[in-house]
Amino acid sequence: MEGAGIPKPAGPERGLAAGAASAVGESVPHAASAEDRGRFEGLIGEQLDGLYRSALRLTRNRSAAEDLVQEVMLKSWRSFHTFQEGTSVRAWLHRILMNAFFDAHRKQTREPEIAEQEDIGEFYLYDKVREGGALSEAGNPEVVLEQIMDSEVRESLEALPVQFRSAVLLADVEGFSYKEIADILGVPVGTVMSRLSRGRHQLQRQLWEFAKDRHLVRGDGR
Amino acid sequence: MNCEEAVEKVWQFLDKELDGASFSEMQKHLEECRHCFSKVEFEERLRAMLRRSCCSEQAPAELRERLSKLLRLF
Repeated sequence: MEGAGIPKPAGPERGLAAGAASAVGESVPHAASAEDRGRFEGLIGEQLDGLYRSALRLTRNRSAAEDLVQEVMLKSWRSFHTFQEGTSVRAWLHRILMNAFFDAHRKQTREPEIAEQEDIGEFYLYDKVREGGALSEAGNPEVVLEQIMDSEVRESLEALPVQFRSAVLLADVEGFSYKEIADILGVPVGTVMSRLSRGRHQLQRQLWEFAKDRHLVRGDGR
Repeated sequence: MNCEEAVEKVWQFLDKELDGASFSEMQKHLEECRHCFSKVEFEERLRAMLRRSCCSEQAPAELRERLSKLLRLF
């Protein structure tokens, strides 16, 4: 099996099964047994695509995303013995991913964190698209939505300040609950809700700009 | 529940974070108000679009292989 690579997940059901299996061991001895390694390898294999996608959205760079995922694997292996039965493998790995990313991010950038109270205003794409005269001949907000390209959606997400981006990514793409996101990011639930709200408004504003640029809608003052 | 309150709770509703009573109130409002219903539907589609656009990528095979080799060194 040398060089065969970490096995790919067989289907959505296996992720849960692997998570449950990995949680069975009460404490993993420090010296790794072949069994531990196998279990860990299976677990990482199941989660790799998701971790890589999250890393890519955060770093916005393929090689940086690969390095980040590798770091997550090394860190999670080191603390694999602390992994608690009954907790979500996916949430645990995302917590390690976010910590590793934000540690590096803080060192690399001097950009100040966005103040929690800074107001960027409410913006609902739906209302903008429906406003008089904004619609293209399609005449229906959903049709406008369908014409926005996947790459534009990803670009809009990646344009968000990283605090907002991480919250939106964890909620809307990964489907974590507010409580899980609060645990992953190490912030109160109220902060999660505020970051989500502002991140989503900002994302919609960005999508609106794309729609205007591509003349899917007629923007203000045109 | 009026439209203003419903708009405030759209995301919590879609995030499945409303408690039972608020969730029922919201559902009732959506049955009665076509405008709010359309808005919620739009938000739902937008989210599905975000998920789909971000979930199409897979980890490169080289990364999978690199990590596997690394694991064997442990």
